[in-house]
Amino acid sequence: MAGLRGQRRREVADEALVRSLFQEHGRAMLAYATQLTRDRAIAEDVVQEALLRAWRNPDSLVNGRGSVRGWLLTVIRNIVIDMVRARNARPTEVGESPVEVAIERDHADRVADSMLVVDALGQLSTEHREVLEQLYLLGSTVGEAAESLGIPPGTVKSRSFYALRALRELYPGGPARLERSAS
Amino acid sequence: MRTPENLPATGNHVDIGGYLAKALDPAQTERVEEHLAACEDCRTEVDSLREWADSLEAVPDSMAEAMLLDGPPEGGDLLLQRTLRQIRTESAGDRNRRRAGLGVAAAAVVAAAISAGVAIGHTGGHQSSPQAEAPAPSATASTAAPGTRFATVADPATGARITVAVAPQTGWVRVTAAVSGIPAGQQCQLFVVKKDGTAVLAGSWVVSAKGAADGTTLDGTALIDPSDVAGVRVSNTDGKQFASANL
Repeated sequence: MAGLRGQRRREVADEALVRSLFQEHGRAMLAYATQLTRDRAIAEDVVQEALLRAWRNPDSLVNGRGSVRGWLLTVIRNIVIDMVRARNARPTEVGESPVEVAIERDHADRVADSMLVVDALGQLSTEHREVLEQLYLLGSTVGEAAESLGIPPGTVKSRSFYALRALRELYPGGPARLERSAS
Repeated sequence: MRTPENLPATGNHVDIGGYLAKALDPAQTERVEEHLAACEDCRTEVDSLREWADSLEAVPDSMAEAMLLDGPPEGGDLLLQRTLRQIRTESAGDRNRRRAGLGVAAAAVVAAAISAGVAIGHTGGHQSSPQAEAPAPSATASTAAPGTRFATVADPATGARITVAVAPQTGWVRVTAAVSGIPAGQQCQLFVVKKDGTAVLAGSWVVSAKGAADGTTLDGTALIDPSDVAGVRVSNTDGKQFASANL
């Protein structure tokens, strides 16, 4: 029923999905995969596999809890874990690799919780989100945040205070509740 | 920004913002802690806000950095080409993906339209549309408009399925929808729904035989502020609703 033309059109459209994901999230995906694997070539394979999974399951991508970015990063983490398991099943390898160390640090629950918190952050105004990103995600000092955002240190302090209050207003149950209700 | 930036971030007591950000010197910290010991309101405030600060700090660095990066990776063109080649290989070898394929195509068409910033076209029509042959956006195409929201909904009662992307413009929205599962001959309308429940018409079409089989992709616009968009709805001109997606 689809015919060759339909087939062709579908291929064009499928490619477009992957292209647009790559254009928007490729840098983040590759950065995260490189963090976990400590190897650019392996990281590229991981990103490729994650894009293929997105292409095979566009519904879970669109309907998933939280952001598209969060879905993609979670998939990346799962792929790296599968790789480590597969390699560990082979008896010849010894020792603990940097990959395992990085994965251990990015424990599954922590990753899931982080996604939710970061998604919550995405609900804030740009000003509020940026100041919290600087201070708490990146761990900048008030002085560093002030310089990078181009605002006085006093404003960083007051704005971060109001930003935390805005988060609490959005999710009155607090971050713990956010995590529980979604898991 | 409705918060008063120039007021001390303290309620009217002490510098809680600075305290939470660990930006106070020892004397100031001591003063805040003395105050907290005596003031239950401030203590409660600090405790509940610190929960949020702590959960943000607990985000692993590897993820925190990745969450803040946008755009394609530098030097990633080969990676993209490699991935696209694998997709072509897989889809060429797969004839059983017919049904799933429609969903894939729908989502992808939406993403493509947004990603390339081009109109896919109103497939109100007959005959195979020329826009189906349009080349995929090049690797240098602009990225999806920031803030674009996606949704996919299948209505089990009507069998209709819609995948939509709503891209914010200044004071209005551009909507791209892939609609399938509606019988040929139906005269349909695509609405963008506001938070107060009122709907704005974004486009209308009649389902062709081809559209009934393969789905129809539509582009439309609606004069609704992006922040006021609640969802998208497809119904026929008699008012029968086929599907509705919340955004």
